[in-house]
Amino acid sequence: MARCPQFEHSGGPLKALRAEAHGHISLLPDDILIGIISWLPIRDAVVTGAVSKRWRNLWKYVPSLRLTRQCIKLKDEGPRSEQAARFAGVVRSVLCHHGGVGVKRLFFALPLTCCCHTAELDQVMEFAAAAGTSILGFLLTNNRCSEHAGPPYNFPHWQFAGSHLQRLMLCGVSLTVAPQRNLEGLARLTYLNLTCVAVDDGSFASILSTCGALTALCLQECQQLVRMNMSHTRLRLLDVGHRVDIKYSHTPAIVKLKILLCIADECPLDCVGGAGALPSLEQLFLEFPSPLHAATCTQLQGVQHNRWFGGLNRIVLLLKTAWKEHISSVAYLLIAAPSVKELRVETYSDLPGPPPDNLMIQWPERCSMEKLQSIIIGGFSGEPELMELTFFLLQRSPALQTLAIDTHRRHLQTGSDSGCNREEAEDHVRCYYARGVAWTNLVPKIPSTVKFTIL
Amino acid sequence: MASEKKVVFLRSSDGEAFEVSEEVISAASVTIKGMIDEESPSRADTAATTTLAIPNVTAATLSRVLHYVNKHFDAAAVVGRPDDYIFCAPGDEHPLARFDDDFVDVDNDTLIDLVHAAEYLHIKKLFDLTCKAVADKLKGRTIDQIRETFGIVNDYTVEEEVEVYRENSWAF
Repeated sequence: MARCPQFEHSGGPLKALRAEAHGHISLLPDDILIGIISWLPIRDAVVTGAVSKRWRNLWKYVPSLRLTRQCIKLKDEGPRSEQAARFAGVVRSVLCHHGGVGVKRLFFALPLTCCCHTAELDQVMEFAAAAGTSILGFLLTNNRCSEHAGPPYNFPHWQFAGSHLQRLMLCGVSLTVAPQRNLEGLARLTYLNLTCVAVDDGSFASILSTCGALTALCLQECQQLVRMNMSHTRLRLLDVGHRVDIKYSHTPAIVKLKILLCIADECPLDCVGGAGALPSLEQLFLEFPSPLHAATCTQLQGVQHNRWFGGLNRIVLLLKTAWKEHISSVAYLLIAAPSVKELRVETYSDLPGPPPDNLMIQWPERCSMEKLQSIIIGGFSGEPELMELTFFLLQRSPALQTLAIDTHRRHLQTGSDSGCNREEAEDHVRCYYARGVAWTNLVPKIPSTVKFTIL
Repeated sequence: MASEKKVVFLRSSDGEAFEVSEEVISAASVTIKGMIDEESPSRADTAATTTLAIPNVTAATLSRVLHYVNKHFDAAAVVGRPDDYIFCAPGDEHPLARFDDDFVDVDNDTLIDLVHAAEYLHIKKLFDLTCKAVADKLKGRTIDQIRETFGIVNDYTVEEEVEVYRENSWAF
């Protein structure tokens, strides 16, 4: 709620005119109006400038700018290159007329390319560096994983040297550490999110050691990154969405960890890091591109990781494929992490599975999930293996308090909002089926001490 | 220090007093926290409860604000996890999202009063919520619709209007 001194007393004649009517928008001081306008998509914000003289320049002081397809709202017509040229024109116009004073947040996500629009991209970077932007999102959306888009735009981190950049999100650019440029511009970062960013192991290691204040790091589809040696004393959250060989050499502060698990024949907790590398870990999100194999069950049995993961109280499993009989691995995982209080299983399958009678699941014998209090099954479509898992856990979890089943569809990647009506109708059928399965088969087996909800 | 929960009274511009837990309102409002801190040395020796005058806010608005504050800042009443900005599992929704939607589903005048009150009392979350609600009423509207909704008089000359349109021709 920063005040803009130049606007302090410009209520003007309207103020006098409407003074009797409290609650009128014209009674609000300019800085509040700017606060309101900053919630508008940039196109609507610019439109407010035409309402009256007083409103003309208000949008030029918004502290947060979003330059995205959705916010600019141009018609999707013509070839891509023409669209991109129109976007470039809008970017030029907005950055030219906006005061550039105190733009704390700048979020840029447009399909501009390095080869055609370098001038505009440079303009955005100069604008952000000059405005003292602390939260910057810079996403070149059409470069995303396409081969023939030319070399990616190299993010000019050196322009931010001495600035206040704290949170940085990059997509479709490259991030290189040249010997003549130091990384001072990134030194204050607390949050770094890289998606489809061309960065190699060496550069990334230098970035990690420069960003001493970093507390959250997210990496998605940075294909050049192969090996990471995690050594960071402040980092609390680590989210790695693609296959990287991570060595946890010194990560005492990590509380939440989300990784994609590709190694199938070990206990996932072994891959996460053994021997006390993650002493603070409380929440673990494991994403499985394929089922964890039941062959591992015998190896998992009896392995207790509570010495290393004493604080781990929440596990979230993101299952991208049907697990069938391998679902028993979840039980072994819970045995290996006995302090877990909340288990959440999220699934992404679309169709009701095959009839339940062909499942031969080998559940572990003589075990009890003493601490487990809450189970959430998300994206449930009536999968028989998940029903079996729930039956099993209901019997073996004496401390269980809540069981929640959510049948709404889970989306792997948010962002593509192209949900058509047909799909929604089909999804309605799926939800209806899933709820029916849960009601008829599950409800009779739930003890009265457990609070059951279904969505 | 008294063992039971301390309360303060807030008196609105039209003279009505509202009781609220000191702890809750201090967590919510920077302005009132400042007032209480200023008062506290003189208050230590008297057992009387404090009454703070809130001259800019009417009773109708103040009672709405306190309803919000009690929902959002009373640690005992708040359910669910603290805001989880990065690893929100899919399907998570803030438990008070529904309350917030209903809270700002009011007429324009009431909403503008709430914006004003939130700004004066320095309650950031409420300020953001109400500003966003006003913005939603502006979003996707034409200039004439905005003027009509909020009763704004067009004081541009024709030449000025043409210039504004030309300056930002892409948006119109």
